[in-house]
Amino acid sequence: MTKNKTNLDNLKFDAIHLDVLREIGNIGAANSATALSHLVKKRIEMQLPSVKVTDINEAVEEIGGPERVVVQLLLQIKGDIQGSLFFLLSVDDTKTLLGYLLDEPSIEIESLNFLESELMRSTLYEIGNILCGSYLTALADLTSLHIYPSLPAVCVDMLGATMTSGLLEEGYQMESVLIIETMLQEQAHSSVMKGNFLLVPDNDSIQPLFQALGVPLHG
Amino acid sequence: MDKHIVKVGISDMNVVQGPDLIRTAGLGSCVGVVLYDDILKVAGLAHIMLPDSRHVKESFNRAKYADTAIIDLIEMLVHLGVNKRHLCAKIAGGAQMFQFTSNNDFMKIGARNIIAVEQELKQHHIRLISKDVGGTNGRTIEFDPTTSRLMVRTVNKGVVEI
Repeated sequence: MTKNKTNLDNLKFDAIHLDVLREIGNIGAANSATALSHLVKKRIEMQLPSVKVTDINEAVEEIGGPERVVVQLLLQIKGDIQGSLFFLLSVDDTKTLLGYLLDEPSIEIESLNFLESELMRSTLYEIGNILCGSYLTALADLTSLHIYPSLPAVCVDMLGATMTSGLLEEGYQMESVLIIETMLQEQAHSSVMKGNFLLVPDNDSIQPLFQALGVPLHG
Repeated sequence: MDKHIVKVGISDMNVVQGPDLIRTAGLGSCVGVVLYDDILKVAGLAHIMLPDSRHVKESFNRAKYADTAIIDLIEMLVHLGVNKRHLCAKIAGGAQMFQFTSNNDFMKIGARNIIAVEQELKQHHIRLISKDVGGTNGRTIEFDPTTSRLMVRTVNKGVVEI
C-alpha cells in the first residue's frame, strides 16, 4: 500500500470536522479531569476545547512563547493512529499538584531540576500516566480505534525547546500541525491551577481519525 | 545607539548587521547556526529543525533543514557583500530534551542535527569557531556581530558566552 501523504494546507475542514475534533478534546479532557479530581480530591473544571491548524511558531506563541518555562508530560500515541499528546503545566502549578499528591502543602522545589529527585520524577510520571492515559482511553472508546500510549516522558524547560523536540522525536516533518487544545483548571480559594492538553495527530493519521469518527474527509 | 534585536523563529533564518543583534529562542533538539564576517560585522542565523531535506518530496520550508538552510544563509550573506571565504560559524543546540524515553533504537534527532550541520559547514569550508551543543537543556541564543560573541542562555545554568 502506498502511503498517502496528507498535506494539511490542502485539506478543507467543514464545521462538522471541527466539531468532532472538539468533541475529542472534550471527552478526552473530561475523562482526565475526573481522574485528576479523584487524585487530588479537588474539583477540576475544563474549558471548551479549541481546534487549530497552525504553524509551530504560532502554536508555541499562543501557549506563552518559546522561552516560557513549562513542565511537559508527553506520551506518544501508537496503533491505528499515531501522534503525540502533551500535558503542560507551569512550574508553580506543578509544585501545587505535587504538594497535593505528596500531601505536603508547601513543597519546596529549589531548582528546576525536578527530575533529579526520584520521588518527584516518579510522581510526575504517574501524573502523566493517569492524565494522558485517561485522555487516550476516552479517545479509543469514542473511535473504536486501537490506541496504545507509550511510557510518559517528562521534561522541564523552555516551551519552544520541549515542544519541537517532543514532536521531532517521532519524526515530525510537516509544515502545519493540527492541535486540539483543552484546558483543565482547579479553582481553589486563592489560586487557579491550569494545565493544557495538546493532542497532535500525525498528518497521516488525520484521515483515519475522521474515518473512525464517521465523518470522512474529502481533501 | 539603540540596538535592535532581529528575532528568528523555529525553522526560520535572517541576517543582521552590527550594532544590531540577532536571536532565536527555545532551541531544543534544533540547532542554531550563526555564520558571520567579523570584519564587516555582518551575521546570519538559522534555526534548523532537521538534518536532511533530500527525502522530502513535497514543497518545504528550506530554513528547516541543515542542507538547505546553510546554503541559503550563505547566499543571503553573500548578497550583503560578504566574501564566503571570510565566513566563520558558531553553533548551539542539538540537545536531548527527553532523557527517559524508551525508544533508543535510532540516534536521537539532536545528535543527528549537530552532525549534519558540522558536515555542511565543512563542505562549504566554513570554520567552526565554537559550539555549545548536546546535553539536555533548551537554549536561547543571541549573537552580537560587533563583538562576534554568542550568548547562550539555559534555564538551569544561566548565561555563557562562546
